[in-house]
Amino acid sequence: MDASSVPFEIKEEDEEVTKDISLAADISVSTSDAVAKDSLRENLMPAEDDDDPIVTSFPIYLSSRLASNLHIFQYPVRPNTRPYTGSRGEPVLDLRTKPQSGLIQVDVPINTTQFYDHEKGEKWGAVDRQTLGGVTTTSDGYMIGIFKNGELHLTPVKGTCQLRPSFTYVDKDAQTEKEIARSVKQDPTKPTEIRAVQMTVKSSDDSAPRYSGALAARKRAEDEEYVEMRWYDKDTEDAWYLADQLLSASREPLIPATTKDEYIDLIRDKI
Amino acid sequence: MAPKRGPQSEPSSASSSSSVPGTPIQPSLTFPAPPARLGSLSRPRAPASGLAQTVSVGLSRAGTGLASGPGSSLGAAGGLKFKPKLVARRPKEERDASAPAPSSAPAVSSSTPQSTRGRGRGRGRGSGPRGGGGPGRGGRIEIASTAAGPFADPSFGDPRGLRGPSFEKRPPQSEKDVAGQLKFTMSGMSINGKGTGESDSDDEAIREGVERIDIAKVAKVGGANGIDMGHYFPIRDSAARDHVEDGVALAEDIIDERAVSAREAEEFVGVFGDDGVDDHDLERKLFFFQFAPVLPSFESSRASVKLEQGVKQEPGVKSEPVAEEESPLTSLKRRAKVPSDSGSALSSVPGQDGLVGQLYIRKSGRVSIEWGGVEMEVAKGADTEFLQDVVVLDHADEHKATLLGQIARKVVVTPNIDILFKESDESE
Repeated sequence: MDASSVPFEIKEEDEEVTKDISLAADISVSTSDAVAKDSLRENLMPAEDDDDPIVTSFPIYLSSRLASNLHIFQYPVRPNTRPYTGSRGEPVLDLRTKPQSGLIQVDVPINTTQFYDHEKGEKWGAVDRQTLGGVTTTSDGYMIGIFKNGELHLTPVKGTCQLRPSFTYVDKDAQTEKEIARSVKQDPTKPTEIRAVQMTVKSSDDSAPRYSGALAARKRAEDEEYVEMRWYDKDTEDAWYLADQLLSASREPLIPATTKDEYIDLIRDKI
Repeated sequence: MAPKRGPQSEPSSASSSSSVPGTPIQPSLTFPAPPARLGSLSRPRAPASGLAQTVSVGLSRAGTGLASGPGSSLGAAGGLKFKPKLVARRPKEERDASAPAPSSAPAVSSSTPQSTRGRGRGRGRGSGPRGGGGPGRGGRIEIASTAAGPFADPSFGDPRGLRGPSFEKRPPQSEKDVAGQLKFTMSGMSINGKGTGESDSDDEAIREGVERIDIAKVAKVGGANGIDMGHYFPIRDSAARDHVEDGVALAEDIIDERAVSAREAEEFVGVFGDDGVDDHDLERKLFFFQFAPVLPSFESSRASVKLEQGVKQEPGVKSEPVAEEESPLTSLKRRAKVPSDSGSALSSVPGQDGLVGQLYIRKSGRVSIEWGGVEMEVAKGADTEFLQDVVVLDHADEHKATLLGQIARKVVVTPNIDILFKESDESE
């Protein structure tokens, strides 16, 4: 499926796209004429102001190939000038997910040469990596778009996750301390007694106390095991291959199924 | 009237109350502890009443940006009266002499080819910190002369003065300036030169040891993690006119209009990139689009997963084209094919692939999208400073996580309600 199968022309006049916003400049536009000639889309052209004609247009394609896999990872604590990529020497080292619960953990390297407290580092046994964690949520209407050959391809996003430093090493440390304290308290010389235990059978019906709501979700999440995933960095063969998958598989026009009135109703209902 | 009793919770107050001349401290008056950021307040200080002074003085100083240090001098002075520290303004000549050179008229942070976009917005930006706390009268002169400056047509300007819009770091001239100074580093030159009249002052400025930065080129000052110019100069300073001679003022008026419309247009042009819409730059970036949660949906011959929230997909063909615009599309139905299957091992969900609309960019820079017959407005989304990555998580055969890249820009798309209702009315 190449551009020639598209039923209408795509006019691009990049040179004429204003780099100079000076409104006094005279830019002649012929794009709108060309597009208007196309009878199929003619009636769909947006109302044009004569003094604000359309200069460029890009066809928009919806793509679904990665739609159930595409995620946005936000790192609120990390500036966007320092991404976690191999090219900067700070690639993601490991990634674990709990697919059902949507939990994600990412291991990133820590630079131990600068601004690193070795004392604390030893105390917590946090070697050279830091774990960031977060939960995935889903939202409607989020899409990732890429431009290619004068076309815009949009793929819906499956979920968004904010990854923040998780202090599991502190938890572990605290836990270890607790255990040590407990074992010290217990007198190791006293043999553990053998007691008779009475067994009872409890039928589980609805009267049994159960977790509900958030607690249940948390329990489920805790019970679920992490799935180790293999991380492929940006600018690798795999990454490029997948980036191509962001392009739509089809150039055929999809038929609108919602009328304007219906759409108005939909918006109203949503509010 | 400033509270005479300092915060009673201050540890020093108890011990120092005795030194307050003749003012009994009423224990019933308790004030909340002062905010920690007013550093002078957290330091234990002699008289309790002195604390009161510090509170008001500190606050007033913060308010006026006169960062002349902690008000300890006042607090220590004792007494209960608030004595504002008067700072005489320098005589005009002095100010003019030390004012930054005309060339420092700043533009928005954008690289050179984008300077046209930046002109409008940047215009007001630079006026902010220059001259420190005062109105910086002397400093306005340079804006006046920008008839030939960066905001004008590129053909203007003195090729000699290639420095372009820039900021200056001036050594603090007075107390007024202290708060207003930002540290900048020198950077390169811009295409737009300055007027000839300014180059002299440039030299003068350089002789004074002023560092100059070219705002047209630097988006972040002070290195990658430095200051984002956009934070500091969002507002255009229109006070500039006042001090300008007539002829120059006239030129400035013309520039102002253009600056305003440039600034407005820039909101749109900036949607996909600083450079307007340039295929070359566009193609390498990942854009995050935020559409309305409810979108016009599309048909497919299969019951498909709702990728867009909207009308439930009916397996059949929808037969009534209500809006007039859709009639040409019904002819398409006959030859439209089923949206092709993803075919990829990744997606087991039959989705929708295909042409759904058009992205239009207008001469003014305004961007709109037509999606399934509904027109939508497109705007630039808020920029964020934190890292945002696009990752593909795949649990199919292998558990793979692949980083596609960072999100370059956010784009927000909203239905154009006016048109929607207008057309809906018309069709009834």
